[in-house]
Amino acid sequence: MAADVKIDIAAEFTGKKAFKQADTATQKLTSNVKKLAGAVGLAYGTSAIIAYGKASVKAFAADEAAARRLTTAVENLGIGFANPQIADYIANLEKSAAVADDVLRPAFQGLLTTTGSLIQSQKLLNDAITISRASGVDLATVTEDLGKGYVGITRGLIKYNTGLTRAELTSKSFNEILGVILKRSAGAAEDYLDTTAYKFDVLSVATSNAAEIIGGGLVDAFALVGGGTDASDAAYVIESIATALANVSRQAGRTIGVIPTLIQNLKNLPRNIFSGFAGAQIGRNVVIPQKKEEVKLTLTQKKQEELMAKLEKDAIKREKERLALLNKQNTAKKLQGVIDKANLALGKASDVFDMDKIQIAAALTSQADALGKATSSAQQLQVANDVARLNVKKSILALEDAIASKDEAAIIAATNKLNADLKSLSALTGQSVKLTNIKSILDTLKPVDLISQKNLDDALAKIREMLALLASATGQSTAGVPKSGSLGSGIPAGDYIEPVSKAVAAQASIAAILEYADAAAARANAFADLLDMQNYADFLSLIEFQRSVGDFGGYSPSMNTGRGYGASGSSGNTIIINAGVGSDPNAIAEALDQYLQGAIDRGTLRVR
Amino acid sequence: MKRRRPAMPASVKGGVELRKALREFTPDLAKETQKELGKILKPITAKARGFIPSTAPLSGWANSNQKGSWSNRVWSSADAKRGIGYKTTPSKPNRSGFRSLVRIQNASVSGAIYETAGRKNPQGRPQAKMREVVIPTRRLDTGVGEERYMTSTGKGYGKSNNPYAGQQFIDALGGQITNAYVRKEGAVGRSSQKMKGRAIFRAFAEDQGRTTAAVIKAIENSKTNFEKVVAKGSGSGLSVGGR
Repeated sequence: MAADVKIDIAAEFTGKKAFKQADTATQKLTSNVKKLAGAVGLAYGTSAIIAYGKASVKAFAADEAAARRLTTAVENLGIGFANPQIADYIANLEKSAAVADDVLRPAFQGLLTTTGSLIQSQKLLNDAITISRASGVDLATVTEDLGKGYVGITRGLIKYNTGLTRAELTSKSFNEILGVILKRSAGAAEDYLDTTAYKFDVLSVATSNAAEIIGGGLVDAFALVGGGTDASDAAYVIESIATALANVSRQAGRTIGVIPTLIQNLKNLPRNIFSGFAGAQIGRNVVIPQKKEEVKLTLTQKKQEELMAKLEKDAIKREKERLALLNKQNTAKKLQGVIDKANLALGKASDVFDMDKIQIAAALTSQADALGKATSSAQQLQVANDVARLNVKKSILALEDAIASKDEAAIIAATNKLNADLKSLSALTGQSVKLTNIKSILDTLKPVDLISQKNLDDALAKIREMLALLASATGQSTAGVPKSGSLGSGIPAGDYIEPVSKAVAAQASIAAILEYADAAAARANAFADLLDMQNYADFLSLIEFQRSVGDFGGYSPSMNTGRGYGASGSSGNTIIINAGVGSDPNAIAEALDQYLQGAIDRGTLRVR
Repeated sequence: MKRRRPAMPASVKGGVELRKALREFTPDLAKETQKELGKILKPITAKARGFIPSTAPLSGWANSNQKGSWSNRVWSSADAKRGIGYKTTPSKPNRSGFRSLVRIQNASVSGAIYETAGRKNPQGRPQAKMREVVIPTRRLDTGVGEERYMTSTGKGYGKSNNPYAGQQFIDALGGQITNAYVRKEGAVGRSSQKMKGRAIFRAFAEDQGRTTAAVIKAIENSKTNFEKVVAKGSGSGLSVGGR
């Protein structure tokens, strides 16, 4: 802790170990670069040669990598034995079409992996070259577009001026589009062979091939000299030798003339001689290991043919699957289009209707009644208008059901019906309606099913049932109603609403149960009112009786006499109140109150 | 957490080599340089010593019967003052690769505590939340058991059970914490807190860079003198490296 409590007044950056190493490495690098720069700065010719050597090595490496990628792709398809033939094909195409193999290989590889067919790939590559010549679009782009087109993505083909619209490009098959393009590009490839550009292409291909060949040789040779196998080793040796040669040529003034010859001679020399020479120059004993011959298993001709046939078969199968998938997609799209159309019609219809308030069945019945009562044509027109609206509503519901069922035929039929109904409604709304139209609309109200025998039988059965109920009700009305005196409740016997059983309630609708409850409550209220009225009548009768007795409202000595009362004439049950001397009224009242309270407490008296 | 570097000292190139060369080839000049640096640095260290209290800031701190971690932190004014000094021997490189050539230091434990206490947390270190520690134990008589106690210790937190201990300690120390860091123009962000203190940093801040300038000048002078001496003796076959 204490060590941190300090103030550094002067310090020096001495660097750490890592810094020192980096510094050393940098110094070495700087030194090497300086040497190299000095050497390169001596003669332009030397730097050009170095650049060419480097480019050659690079070109060789790129070409080798592209070839390896193609080889791998072919092997992945299971036809590795066809690699030599493919290499020949590429080489021949390169010569005939003057397209560099480093362009052809990736193009062919792309087509091969896309189509999965050797034959198709070769055909498409030839077509691509033709189209490229005609359109001026580079071959890589053309092959990419054709590859995409082969799997159904035809959008990129529009750039070849086919004259087809975007919709046509989408709807037509790839072969049809390719046919159109090839028709327009016919002869372009042949014409191109006569152009100067083609000659330049030939030269360019030859030059690049030469670079690759030279590069390949240089890599093999110089990499061994450099003690490795990589192109980087070769590049290092090339630069060193070229620098040395530059020094020599600078003095001799014959650099340009010597170098190609020297390179050629170096190439022609056996490797062992060269390595010995080079090894001696750098003070190392370089021994070139003999390359081991790879042992490859060869397939029989029959097996090869079988594999090729399998490849083509797989490609065809894949194409069929793709087409099937495409058809499925198109079918789905078609169905979706129909549904969209139907939804559009629904949208139109919904604009016309207030869907929440209209109950179709009830409304149609109501309209049927209104039609029977209609006396003027204006009323008939109104009825027709309403019926048309209701028909539209029915059609909407039918169409919704059809959409839900995903039945294309049903959707189409429902849509047509809805459109027809909307048309009728539109005509009615515009008041330009003919009587025939009205008639046709009103005819829809006829319950066609009612005239069937079954419906008639059912109706008759209902009538019979109603008659039976009516007879029963009549019988009940003529029977004597028991009086309250006999029943005690004032309600006639059997005249009550039976409680609804659980089984019945479970099947009944909520509305029905509520209606039943309302009816029962109303009836109970009615009987309660009846009972009140009865009580009131009894009360009046009692008053009348007491009035006839004549002691209503006062005390009479003759009261509380007779049967049930005591034998004495004054009273049956005498209540003696001991209020003390003087008979204070308050004392009497208090004593009476105590007596009554005692009776209440005992339960013998109830106060209402 | 991002580590903040302390303020960069004046950078000198070839200082280590110069010192070696001085000691090797011109020992007298080396001694003279040391003396000159001492003259420059002594006033500031003397001033810093003056900021050290002559008695213990807390009465119990000077108690030599301290136990535990405070047994080697007993306050001694003499030690604290003696710990303040300067060094001119090059240090080992720090993690950034710098070697200190001249520095002022507060080397004693108690002096360093007095120097730095409260420079990071002026109100004392915060108290951690109380938590229960459960230690499983095995007793001979009862078998498996556990020991439980409450604590609020933790890294970066106050270790005392008294939540105000840090605040009380800092208040009792007194003194004045001064930041000697000179912020460069245009610098952004929070500046380093490692140049704050009550003794050497305060003295260095009050010096306002005069000592630094004098030290650099002294080193340059020694270099010049060394080159003169070498030039005089070049005829004798003496060769001097360095930058």
